[in-house]
Amino acid sequence: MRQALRDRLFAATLWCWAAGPLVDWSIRLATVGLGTNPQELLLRAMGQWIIALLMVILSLPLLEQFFGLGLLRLRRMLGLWCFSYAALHLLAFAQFEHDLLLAAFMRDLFTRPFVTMGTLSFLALLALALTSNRWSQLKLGQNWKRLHWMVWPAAWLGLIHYALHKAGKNDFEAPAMAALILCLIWLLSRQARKKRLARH
Amino acid sequence: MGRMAAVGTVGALAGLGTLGQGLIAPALASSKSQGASQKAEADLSPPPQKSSHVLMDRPTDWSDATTYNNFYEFGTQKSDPVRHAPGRLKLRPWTLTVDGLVGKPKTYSVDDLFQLATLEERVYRMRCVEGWSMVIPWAGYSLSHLISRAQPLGSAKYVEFTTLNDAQMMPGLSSRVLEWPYREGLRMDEAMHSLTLLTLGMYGKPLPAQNGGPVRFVVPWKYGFKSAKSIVRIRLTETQPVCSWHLSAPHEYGFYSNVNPSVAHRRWSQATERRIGEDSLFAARRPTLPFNGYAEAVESLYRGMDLRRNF
Repeated sequence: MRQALRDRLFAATLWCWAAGPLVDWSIRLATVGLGTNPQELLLRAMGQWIIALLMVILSLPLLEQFFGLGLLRLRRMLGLWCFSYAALHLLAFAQFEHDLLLAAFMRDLFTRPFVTMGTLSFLALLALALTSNRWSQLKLGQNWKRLHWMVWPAAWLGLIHYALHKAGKNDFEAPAMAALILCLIWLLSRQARKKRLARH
Repeated sequence: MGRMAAVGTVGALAGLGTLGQGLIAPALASSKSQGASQKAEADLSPPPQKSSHVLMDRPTDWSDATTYNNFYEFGTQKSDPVRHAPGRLKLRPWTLTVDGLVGKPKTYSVDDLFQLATLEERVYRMRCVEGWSMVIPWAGYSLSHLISRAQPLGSAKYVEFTTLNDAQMMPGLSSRVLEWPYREGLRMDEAMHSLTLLTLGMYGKPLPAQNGGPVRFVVPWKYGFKSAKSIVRIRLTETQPVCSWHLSAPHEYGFYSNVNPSVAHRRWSQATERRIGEDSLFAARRPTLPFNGYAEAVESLYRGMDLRRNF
């Protein structure tokens, strides 16, 4: 009973953490405003938050192995938050940069690599969000796991998108740091998996 | 795998988590307080004369124009210059040298520059390559006044501008974003065009450090990065100068970089723009005008040129 309560509390805390930036932006928007170029600030803040969420999601199995807090059950919730931010990010881009004109967006999609990469990453996340329910899990069986491995390519595409955008300023510090962390998570997860298999 | 590594990962992730918010706070914190304190700076005296070069658009707020700047010598974030430039960038003493292919090379102090010609107020549209624009009342006079005094030789075809390169005053120089010092260039006829402004002030005040004080130039029909800030040298040359942005990404930043809605940039369609401080969150973007609206005055400089190739 107490365990159940603790789990719920933990899940709720994590939910609030994931929702935090959205609340933060909304409050700022309604009160002090979002600075000189609010559209630019929102787009960038959303993008960075999505990458941060993806990294947290990808490191959950690793963290679970050491802390065992039942973290894996929270993966779907965080994943859906991540997808929601990605959808918002894409929608905001279409609105702020193209006044929601589909033709203008499509032109970008085929001429600007950073838009192409970002959209591909979004499509991967969309597929994961659509199949995140139990019904899909049962229906897809073993393929479900294969499909959901796509969170890795989604993260890398997102990072390439970020780096290509930063290329405008020749400023690769942040994307390089994120790539390094992603590599670290991948390496550590692989090692952990090997150990686990060796034990069996 | 050790527990230490896991802890390290957690730490790194926690850091990333705050990245989103970390982005917003500094941008907001700097914008009001420092912008306001600088307003205390005394007005130019005598005040700049009214000129015919006045755009009828509403001027951008001083607080936006002085807190949202691209000036990489002080950092790549647009909130960096207002945080690092005022106070650190010593605006006096300051000298500007005019040399190269000229009969009379000379080094001017800022006070010399203020005396050289009558300051005019010119309200120009300023279009950043990133797809945003401002409307700024500059104070200065045509750069041609300064260049003519140096008596350009017939062989002078281009003008190279160099920004200060002082690591003590400019913390951003430690980054390798661009090759320093920042250099820009114009063709001789562009530099001598009456719209090209040697700029010593804005909003009736001396030019603030973060906007390129004490002296810069402004070419209103080109993307903002062409108008180099805090310049120390103007050199007349026979060959086309190497420009910092062109050097870093030649396929993205051409030598001319005239505002052109029909030539897209790798990251920004240049067809439209957002007016800073005026357009609400969901406002439609404004169409960008050829030569930033100065086509009538400058079109003839480029007659017969393919502006898609010479972007």
